Amino acid sequence: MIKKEIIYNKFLMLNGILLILFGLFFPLIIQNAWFNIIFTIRNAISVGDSGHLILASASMSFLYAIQSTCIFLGAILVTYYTGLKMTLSKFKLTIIFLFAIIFFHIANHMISDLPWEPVSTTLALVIALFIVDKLFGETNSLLQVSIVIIQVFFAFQWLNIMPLFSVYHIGQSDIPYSIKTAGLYLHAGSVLNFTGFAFFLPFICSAFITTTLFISYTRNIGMMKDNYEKEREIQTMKAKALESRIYKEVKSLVHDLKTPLVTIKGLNSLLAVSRDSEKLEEYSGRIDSSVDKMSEMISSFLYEASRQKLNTLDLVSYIRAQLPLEDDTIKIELKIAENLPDIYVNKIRMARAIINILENAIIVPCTKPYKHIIFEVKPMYKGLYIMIEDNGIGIEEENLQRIWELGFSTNNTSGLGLTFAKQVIEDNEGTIGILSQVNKGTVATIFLPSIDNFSDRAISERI
Amino acid sequence: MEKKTIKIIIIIAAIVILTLNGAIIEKKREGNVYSLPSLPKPIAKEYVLITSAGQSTDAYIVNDIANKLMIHNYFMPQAKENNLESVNTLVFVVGYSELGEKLHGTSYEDEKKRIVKLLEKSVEENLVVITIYIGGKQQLEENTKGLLSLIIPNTDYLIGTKEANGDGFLSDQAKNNKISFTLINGVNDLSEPFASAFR
Repeated sequence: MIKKEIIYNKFLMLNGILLILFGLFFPLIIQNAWFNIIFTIRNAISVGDSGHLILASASMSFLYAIQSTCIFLGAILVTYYTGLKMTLSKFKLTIIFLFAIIFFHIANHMISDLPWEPVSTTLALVIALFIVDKLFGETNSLLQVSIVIIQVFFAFQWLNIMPLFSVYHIGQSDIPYSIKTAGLYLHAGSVLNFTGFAFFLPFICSAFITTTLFISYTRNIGMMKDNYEKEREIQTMKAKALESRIYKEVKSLVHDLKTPLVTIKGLNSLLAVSRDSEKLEEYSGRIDSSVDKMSEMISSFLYEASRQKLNTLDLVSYIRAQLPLEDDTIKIELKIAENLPDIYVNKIRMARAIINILENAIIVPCTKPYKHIIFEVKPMYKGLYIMIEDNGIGIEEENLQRIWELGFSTNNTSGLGLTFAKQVIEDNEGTIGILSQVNKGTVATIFLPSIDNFSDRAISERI
Repeated sequence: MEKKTIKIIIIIAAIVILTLNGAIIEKKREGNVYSLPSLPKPIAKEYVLITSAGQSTDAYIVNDIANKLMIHNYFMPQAKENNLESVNTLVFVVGYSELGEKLHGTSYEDEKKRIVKLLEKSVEENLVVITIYIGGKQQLEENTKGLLSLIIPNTDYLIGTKEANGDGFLSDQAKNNKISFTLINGVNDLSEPFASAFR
């Protein structure tokens, strides 16, 4: 990894050197473009059109900007990836950087005979350094730095054509001075001053605005990454909580498996002492039935899609057997109707789902002297209606929308119970709804379709 | 008030002050106008050959002025001595341009040789030589001074800018060589003294 990073840094450093070399030889490569500028100035003088001078100024500013940007970016890459950044202080690094770029511009003048503008280039350089310090440190993106830097250099080159700034030794080299002299001759000094400002101000403002946008964009991306990481952490925690829930389910299953096992053990001991063939047949039959029950329980647990025809009273009995009824302050009222239809569900999972809702009703805080829970089961058109009502503190309206979210809880629980219950009920083609009023209580209603809604073929396929 | 706002105000104020200061200095210069002394009587005759000494674009401005003044001229930035036939006046527009020389495929030394030959021929033919320098102080660097030093001793009339004469180079040269000399504020003041050499 470190080796890869070193190679990458060397690659970037090499690119930096290439950029500097490109900047140094750029005027030679595009020599004809510079000559064209001279032709444009001559043309402006002969036809008396200052518009040509603006065109010449734009070409000149663009060429100077490209050249300075290449040298500047090359110097950044070399400085950042040679390790100088680590060994030198920020101030020393800035001074070295400043002198290096000025030196490269002078070297460029010596190589290509193209005069450079010391004042405007140095001013642009200072602004560019300020921007790079803010931008490159924050985004580390060379593309973004390039976009901003070229604007800065382009903006400052426009100062060179303004006769107004001649007193500050700005625009004194060959081409800018020729443009200004021609401009003054054509009585277009004000035009050049105005044009210079008209390009300088928008471009310099744009450079700062672009910098701010890039920085805020990078910060937003950073924040999004942080949020994503946090979300992942939350998901991991939820997964762990879910695992813990599964462990709880397994424990309850194992506990439930003990009942048929005890039956089998007892019957088995009777088998050993019994000589009556009728009794032997009966015990054997009951052992067989217990084994089937165990198998059914394991299947229900292992396979979510596993469903069986179930007598509703069996389900109710199973749920009752699981309920913790030791607390005297909780009164659970059972209203079990007669003629309940058979249902077609995964018994273990459905029982756990209803128990979860009942447990929620049990643990919810209550302002009344005692907790009153009504567990009502009654037949309904084409199915079974189950209602669990408590007189707890209820759920606030804004939270009512979120109760089905994984991990959401108002009682410092794992927040998995209701999600699991909804999932199981819907998997078994049922529906669940919750109504609540603050300080009055909560009502959970469950509808499960009766077995009559399923064709024999569908049942046999599912089994 | 936020620090950021104060910084922005300071920057804007600095730009405004620098701009106004530039304008004031410009005005001061304009206010201190050198009275344009024209030549008391014409010294030169047409046809005129206008050439460049240093290949800057200034020569094109002088050519345009000559055309506007209806002075019959040949404009040859790289004129050779054989171009002086049927010419009565030779005008040198001095201004060294590295790019200009590159464009014309010549060098500073070649340019000097060409000028020397032109001057020799002009002496031979008894031509009037007018030297014009319309560049500023910054442009009056070593190479331009070298060209001026070469031409001025054989010049009959020298026109230069006041800005360029900040160190007295032009006036000293004119004084030492005892030639007529006019200082102008800028390129737009060139027409009058230039015309006075002919009319």
